[in-house]
Amino acid sequence: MISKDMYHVYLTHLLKGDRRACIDIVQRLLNNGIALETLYVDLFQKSLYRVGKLWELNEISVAREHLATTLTESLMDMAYPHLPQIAVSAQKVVVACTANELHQVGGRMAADMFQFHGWDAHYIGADNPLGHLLTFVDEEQPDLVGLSCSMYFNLPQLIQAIESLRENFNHMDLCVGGQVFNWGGEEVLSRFKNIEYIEDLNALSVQLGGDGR
Amino acid sequence: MKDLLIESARTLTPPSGETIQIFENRVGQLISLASRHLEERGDMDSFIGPGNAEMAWDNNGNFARFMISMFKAYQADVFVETILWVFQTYRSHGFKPRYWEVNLGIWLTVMAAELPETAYQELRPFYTFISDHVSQFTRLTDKDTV
Repeated sequence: MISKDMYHVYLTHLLKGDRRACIDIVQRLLNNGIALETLYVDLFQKSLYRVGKLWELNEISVAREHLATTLTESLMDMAYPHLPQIAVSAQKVVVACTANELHQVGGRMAADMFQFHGWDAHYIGADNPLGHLLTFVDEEQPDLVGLSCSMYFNLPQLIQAIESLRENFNHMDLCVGGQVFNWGGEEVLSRFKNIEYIEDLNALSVQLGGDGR
Repeated sequence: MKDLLIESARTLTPPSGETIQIFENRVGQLISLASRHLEERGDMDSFIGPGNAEMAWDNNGNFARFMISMFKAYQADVFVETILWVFQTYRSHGFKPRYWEVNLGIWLTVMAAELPETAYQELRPFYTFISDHVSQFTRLTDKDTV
């Protein structure tokens, strides 16, 4: 539903920080009835992966990478009027970035993906100190906690969060997402029970009952 | 060549829990000393490229924290793949292979001076693995091979 041409035009505007042009493209897609999962996976996620790659290749600066990220976050707000009503009986998920983890957009996209599938999603953003995360989970008593971690050097904080959540909320399901295991290493999760590693937004959509992209 | 590197990295023995704890407890001091040694050389720009000092300081911190993660859940393929990513990304930003030769030498010097001998001996092979294979990591991340 998103043509190659449209994607490239969008990416060009995103990198320029042309908010108006990006809004127009997203609005047009929404008016045409694009599935929200498609919008997130094929436009928002795909373009930000490309932006990250361009930084790696030194073709854009950190500042431009941040410009594209913050602009994307503001565009995500456009999806919210299209969210399904949350039923009283909806399952609840808390999504959080682990301590020290500053890359927050992926976690926010994951929380939205839950919401698209009728979950009551609470996203608490970047760099959550462990004690505060535990308190929040205790207050909310969700069915599932999703932990987002992008940088491998934050793995000890991720493991510590999993250990503490397991210890304090033995019954609760956990999932982990983010690029922390881009090059493997997810086997480290196998020593915990009721935990799942979800590779990306598409995998999450499938897991939640969507047909993926 | 990458497979050979991974195979070779599989022979490394993860440090003991006690050594990891010692390293973790002193990591802030080690980062600071390693960064100071690098700066005091006076020739840093020749191998990190102009305007990259902040990236070099960031890398020293990230590198140390990455090593802690590695030591705690060692997997040879993750180790090698991550080093390749770092080489590719930092070289794209102007860092020269000599940067790793110099910086790893500094880290070994600082760790030898600041850590107990047994801890140093357990950690040293991971750093020498990278420094001994700088030419291979360089070849694998030359622009025409990535």
